[in-house]
Amino acid sequence: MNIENTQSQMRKGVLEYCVLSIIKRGEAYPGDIIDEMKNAGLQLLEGTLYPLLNRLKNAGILTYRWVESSSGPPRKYFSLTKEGEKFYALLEATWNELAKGVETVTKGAEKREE
Amino acid sequence: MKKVISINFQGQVIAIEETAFEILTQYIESLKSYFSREEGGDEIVNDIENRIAELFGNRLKHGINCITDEDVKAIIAGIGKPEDFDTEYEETAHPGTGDKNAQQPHFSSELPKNQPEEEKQSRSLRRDTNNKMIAGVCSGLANYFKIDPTWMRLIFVLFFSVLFWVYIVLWIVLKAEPLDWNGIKRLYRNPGDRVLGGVCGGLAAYFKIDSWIPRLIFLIPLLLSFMSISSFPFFIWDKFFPIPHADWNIKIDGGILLVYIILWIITPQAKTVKQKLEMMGEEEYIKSIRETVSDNVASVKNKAENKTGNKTENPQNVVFSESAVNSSRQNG
Repeated sequence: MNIENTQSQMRKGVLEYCVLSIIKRGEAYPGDIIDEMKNAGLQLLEGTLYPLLNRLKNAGILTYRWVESSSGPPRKYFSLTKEGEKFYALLEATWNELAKGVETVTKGAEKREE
Repeated sequence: MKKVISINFQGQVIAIEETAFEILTQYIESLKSYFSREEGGDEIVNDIENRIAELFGNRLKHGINCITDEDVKAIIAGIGKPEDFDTEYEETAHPGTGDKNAQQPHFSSELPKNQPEEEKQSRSLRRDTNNKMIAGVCSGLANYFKIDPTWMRLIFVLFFSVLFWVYIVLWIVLKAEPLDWNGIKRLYRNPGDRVLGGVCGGLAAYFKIDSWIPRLIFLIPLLLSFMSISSFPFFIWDKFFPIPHADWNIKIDGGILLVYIILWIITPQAKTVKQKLEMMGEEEYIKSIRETVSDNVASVKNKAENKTGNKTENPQNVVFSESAVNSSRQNG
């Protein structure tokens, strides 16, 4: 069993949720998203983020508009579509359920060890 | 001492060390071939190039004179190499088959998520709503027999009188279901190699032959009949190739024209990267991409070299801005 593999799978699961959550708060461009994830201590490669955003866009969950930038080429600012709002709400519900459930189970395990 | 060149990168003029430029082009080429399998791959690479241009711009703004090898390496580390992406999101799509497919990158959203279920599906005869021309009967049959739907359609068109009722009955009887095509190779019309409808180009890609061969096959009967009809007094063609029944001949050329038109109608055009992959076969397609990429690189290089002339080489002190480096450095 490869620990790195398991860890990366755990991260992967919540990645989409985190990214959508950042975008839900307000239009964001990939640079912002990367910075915010990093500040929160969540590692995210740009090479992973861009394809993810592209897929979410193709799936109709995200949409974007071009914004001129003073520090380089125009940037794509992403925002949630109506469908994306629904998608996010479902993810949020699932996450809350999951977080609560995991907490209960793992705490239970600790108690038993004591 | 290093040579500095000036490149036009995503609309930005960037001063960059020649060696750093080499690293950058190699990296972008690797991204292109990696994302070429994904739908919208060009767009992803373009977005990443934009991001790199922006990071370059940030650095140059902070007072350094040119982009160095270290800058490019730091940026690449931040964005990640294709090898890193694999472990980032690839395996989830194929639980249990990770080892077998470890060599090839996969893209989770494009591929069917649950392979076993997929196989079960294809064993029962359905009308295919995903890939239909009329009602999806031919596509469904093709899916069932694991052949290219185009051949199934050709059979139905050629034996129209007999199979018409079969089609109607199957239309009524079969359940409709969206199916994913389960073969490897498939006939498409080739938009990249076409004179009329791309049928010959597609056939050439399908049979891995040069495209003039199918073109000749379609053209010869037409030419022959044309020659036999136009009777020049000095025309001795008939002696070498006696054509006994002129009307039989016309039937052939009419027939071959009909086949072309039928193929034109029933063969889909290869539009997406995935379809082009299916049209040419994986190896051929990757080879063709490699060729275009290296062409592009060569033309970029030429442009860059042309510009080198008016670029000043600046041996001033190189100031690294700590914040600029940090902003893009990967923390893992």
